Amino acid sequence: MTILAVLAGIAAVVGIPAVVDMVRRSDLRHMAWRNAIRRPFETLLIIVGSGLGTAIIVAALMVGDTFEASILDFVPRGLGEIDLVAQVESRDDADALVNLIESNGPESVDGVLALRAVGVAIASGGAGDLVANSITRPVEPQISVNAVDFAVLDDFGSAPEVWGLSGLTDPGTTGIVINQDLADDLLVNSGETVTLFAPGREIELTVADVVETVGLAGWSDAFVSNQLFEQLGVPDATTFNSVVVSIEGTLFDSTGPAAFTATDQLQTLVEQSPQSERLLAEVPEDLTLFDPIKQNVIEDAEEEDAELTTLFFVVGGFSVLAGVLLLINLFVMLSEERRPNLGVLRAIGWNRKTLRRAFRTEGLIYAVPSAIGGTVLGIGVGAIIIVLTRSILQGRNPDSDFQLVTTVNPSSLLTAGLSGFVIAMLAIWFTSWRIALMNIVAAIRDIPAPPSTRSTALRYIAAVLCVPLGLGAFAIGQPAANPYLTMLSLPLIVVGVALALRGRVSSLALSSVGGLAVIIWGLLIFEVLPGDTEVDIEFFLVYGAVVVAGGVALATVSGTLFQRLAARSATGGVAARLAMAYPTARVFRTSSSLAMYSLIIFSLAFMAVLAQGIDESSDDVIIDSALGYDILVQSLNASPLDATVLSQSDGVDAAAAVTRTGTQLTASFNPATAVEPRGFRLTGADASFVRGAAPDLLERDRRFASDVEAFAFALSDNDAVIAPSDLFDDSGTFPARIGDTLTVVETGQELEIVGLYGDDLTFPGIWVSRSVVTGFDPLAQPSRLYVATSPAADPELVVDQIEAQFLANGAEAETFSTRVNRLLEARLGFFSLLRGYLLLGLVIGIGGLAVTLSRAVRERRRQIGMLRSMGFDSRGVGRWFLGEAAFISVMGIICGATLGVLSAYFLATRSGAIAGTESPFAVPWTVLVVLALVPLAASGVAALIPAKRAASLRPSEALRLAD
Amino acid sequence: MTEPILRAVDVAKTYRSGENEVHALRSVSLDVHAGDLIAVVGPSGNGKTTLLNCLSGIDSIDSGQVIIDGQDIHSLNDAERTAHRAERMGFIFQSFNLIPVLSARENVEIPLVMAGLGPTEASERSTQILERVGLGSRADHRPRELSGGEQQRVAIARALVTTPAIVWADEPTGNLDSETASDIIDLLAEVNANGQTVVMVTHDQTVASMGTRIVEVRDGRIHRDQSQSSGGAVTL
Repeated sequence: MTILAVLAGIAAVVGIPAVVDMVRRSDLRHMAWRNAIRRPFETLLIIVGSGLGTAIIVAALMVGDTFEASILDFVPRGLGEIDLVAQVESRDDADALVNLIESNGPESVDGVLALRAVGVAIASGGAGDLVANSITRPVEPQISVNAVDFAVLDDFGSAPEVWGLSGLTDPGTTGIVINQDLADDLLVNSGETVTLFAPGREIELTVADVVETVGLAGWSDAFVSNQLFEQLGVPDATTFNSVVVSIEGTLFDSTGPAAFTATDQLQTLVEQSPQSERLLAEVPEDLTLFDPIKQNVIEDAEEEDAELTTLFFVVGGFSVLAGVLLLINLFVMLSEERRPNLGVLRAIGWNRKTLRRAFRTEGLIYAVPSAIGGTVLGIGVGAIIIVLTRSILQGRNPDSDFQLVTTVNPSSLLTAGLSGFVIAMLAIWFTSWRIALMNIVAAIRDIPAPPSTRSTALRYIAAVLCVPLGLGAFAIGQPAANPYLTMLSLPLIVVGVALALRGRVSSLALSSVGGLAVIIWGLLIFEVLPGDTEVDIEFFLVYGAVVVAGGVALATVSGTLFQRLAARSATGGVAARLAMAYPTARVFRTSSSLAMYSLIIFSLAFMAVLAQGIDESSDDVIIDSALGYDILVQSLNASPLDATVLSQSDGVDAAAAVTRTGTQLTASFNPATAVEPRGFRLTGADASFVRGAAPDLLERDRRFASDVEAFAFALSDNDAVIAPSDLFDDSGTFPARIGDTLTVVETGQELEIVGLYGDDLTFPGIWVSRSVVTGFDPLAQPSRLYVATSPAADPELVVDQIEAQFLANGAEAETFSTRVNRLLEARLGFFSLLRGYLLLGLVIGIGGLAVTLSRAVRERRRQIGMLRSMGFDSRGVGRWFLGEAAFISVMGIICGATLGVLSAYFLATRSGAIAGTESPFAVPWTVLVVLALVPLAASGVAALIPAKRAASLRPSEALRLAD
Repeated sequence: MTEPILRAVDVAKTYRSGENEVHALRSVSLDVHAGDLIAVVGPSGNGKTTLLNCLSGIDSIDSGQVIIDGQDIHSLNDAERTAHRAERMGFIFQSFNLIPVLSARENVEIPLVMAGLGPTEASERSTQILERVGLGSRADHRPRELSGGEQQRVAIARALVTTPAIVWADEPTGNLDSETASDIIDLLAEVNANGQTVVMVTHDQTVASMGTRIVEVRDGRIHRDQSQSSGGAVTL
């Protein structure tokens, strides 16, 4: 709301004066309309170019809205009336807690229920029908079954429509209630038979009811009576006991302060109860027994919204910058074209203010439709992104219940529309201010304005300000590990020095040296910044803008060299000379066009290199994740698959189990660095687990000669761990070092880091010995298994066989190569999505080039007429304009692609800023060739119309119109 | 009398704008001989520039013929006519029409590069002709860094550098002060004295008086064709 208010305020400041002039000043209005409709094609291009920027903003916000709404969609589907949840050790504890709350709980509580859950496998049909090595009917190897007291279900909360379990009768010991999703998976209806795989036996049950997947019926897949649950014979150790609480109010009324208040009240109630010692035994000192789960979901949704919006904003930011440059470029060209006329208007009495107002009034004609049209277009773009994202997420986890609900909030549309309007109007204000500074005589005669004392003074003032500002930014930013200040420091100094030396040193030298200095500074910024600098994703927008600015400065002066070479070359015809001469001479215009191109190509090339690194690393990741095995099997905690039994299966050479903590432990790290304690999962195994392979360690203790030795040590020692490199730091500048100590908050146990690993797509968390895991969580089960297949066996067939043979254990198997490729494909798919999103920016750049060339044809009509008179044929004129488009796009492509590849190289290999680890670097040559050829071809196509128009000008007509 | 290098026969040109028709040229016939310095004069809007454009082939005609080197240039297609202009003609315009992003030397090099000369030879010949028009020291300056008179000298150098058979000049002194205009006319007279044919549109009687022939155009017709050297006047 704050951003919207600020935008509305700025929009009012920049828009209302123009609206007032549009309404009240008929002369300005007529002039603006006339200028806009006189060249409808160019007006359309301006509106489309500006509108694309707005569309990009809409799409970014829409992605955020969709993810937020999708996560919030879980509230009715997976929580309903459940606001708070507490985990307890046993059924007795759960019953005691329920009794306590029912008798003395706060008035705001309008429902409390004890739940007992266990993970089991389930199949449609009766028992004993499964064939040994293949599954012949629908099964679900891992579902959650809850035991509930059906008699009290209706008393929970006040909104039966989001509860899912209202009006049910107890199914007894022969029935089961399942949700609609499970019924669909099993292809069963009420009254049909299913088989539940309890530890050691199969139980046939009748589906008593199929309930809508909402509320508690979304939280859990199936429900049975307490009596039946007892008969399942599930060990207490693998039962998950909890108490859920509903706070009065509708679905979302019970969140926020209400949830926090109730949590505190219940904590006080428990603390003051006789059972406090038992109930709070496992609760860390600074945490509460009840977790405000619904509030957490909302916060997660908002966080996800913010993160994705930021990501798409940053990626789209390059396109928006390109759009801004296009607008400024267009208005500067407009003003240059009309300069003599504007000079006359000034001469006959228009003051500078009127001139500015005239331009702003005209700008309003472009800004309003582009904001509205861009907003509508953005909804379409956002919808396409969401469809593609849905497909990517589906590929990443086909079993996920997470559903993307396409959503766009009105406030997002308003924000995006206002942003587009404000950006357009600010560009117009800037150019109108620049135009109004014209020297009247110079404007009328269309000659360069002499440097005024005022402009020289302003230049020196800017120079004097920039240098100390840059020095100050470095002095403050570098020690404080502020990447923004540090990044901007040298460019500011360069700009200051360039302004001071302008006129004394050639612009060629200034741009070359300055541009090169800024590029080198950007590429090596992570060498300059302290090692613990935290870099957020927004930084890359600043990074890209600075590096590309340096590149554009260098490329612009390189054009002069190319032009000179062409002039000295025997093959440089008139068309080639002119194609280079104009862009080289029109520095501002060329820089803007180059920057538009370079920004987009830079970010496309940058992402292509990172994606290539991921793609080429897949084999390494498979090896690093597999640890010498071929298949990963996840079985149920309630009936874990025995490794010895598994190892005797056909095609299995060896099998080893790892034990993982069911819940995360909390650990602090290097207390002196004041890093907040965070949650981790432990994975424990015995030293016999090691099969000659280990995680690829980025660093290891010098005591060990190899990664395998360090890994084996950590699995056999109770004080040593192998930890992920981004242990405490999502931004990736991993402060964790070998020899650092982790302190487990719950137990006070201290663990020393002896190795740090990078990417492992089995997500083991911290590798420790099995005894460390069971010491922390005595109930943890060895339910995850690593399987090595026989040399002659086909791992994929072994996967099918394991899932069928061990269905009762809920075995879900996948080869490491399938798993890694699936997850990496999802990552690559996301990169592709972002690249597709960036193509909008490329459209802006190419459209901008077309507009620039169209205007250039108009501007150069006189020269075209003269050249045609002198005998320059029409094809030569066409070649001139096509060559100019090619020259600018080639320069932009070379500049952007080179900087993109170099930046990716330095970021991937010289810093930990990407994914918290040093990533493999690989140049995607094929992609880069496509990246070069597609924009080049598109530029050629875009330049065809202006080139054709220029070529078709008859010499006498061109000369007559010009004069 | 020698064969004319250009013969225009019954040339007519009408401009149409909507329902309006402007008869810019009405059955104009004219011979141009080698070595002529023709001043085309007449009131504004009476067809002087149109006559120059149609005779040089940069504009089409509705009827008649313009024969150069025994060939009707208006029977040629656009490419052939363009090539013909490149080989045989030079142009000087009131607005100079220099390429603003090229230096004086580079502007003069354009016709030579079009003619297929190598960069070294083109540069040498451009430098020579710029020295001839008094701009040897200003060869590397861009048009905006030159005065109006200097710019027109560059335009003249560009028109002469390929030694064309006919130089067409449309109000070559129109944008210049009288002193500079006098210099330019002297330059054109010198060019003509060296044997090149010059056809010049002007409304300035002083400039026109420098011509060996004065052709007056009124209402799209040649009203007067007066040879200055013979002193006789032919009124049509």
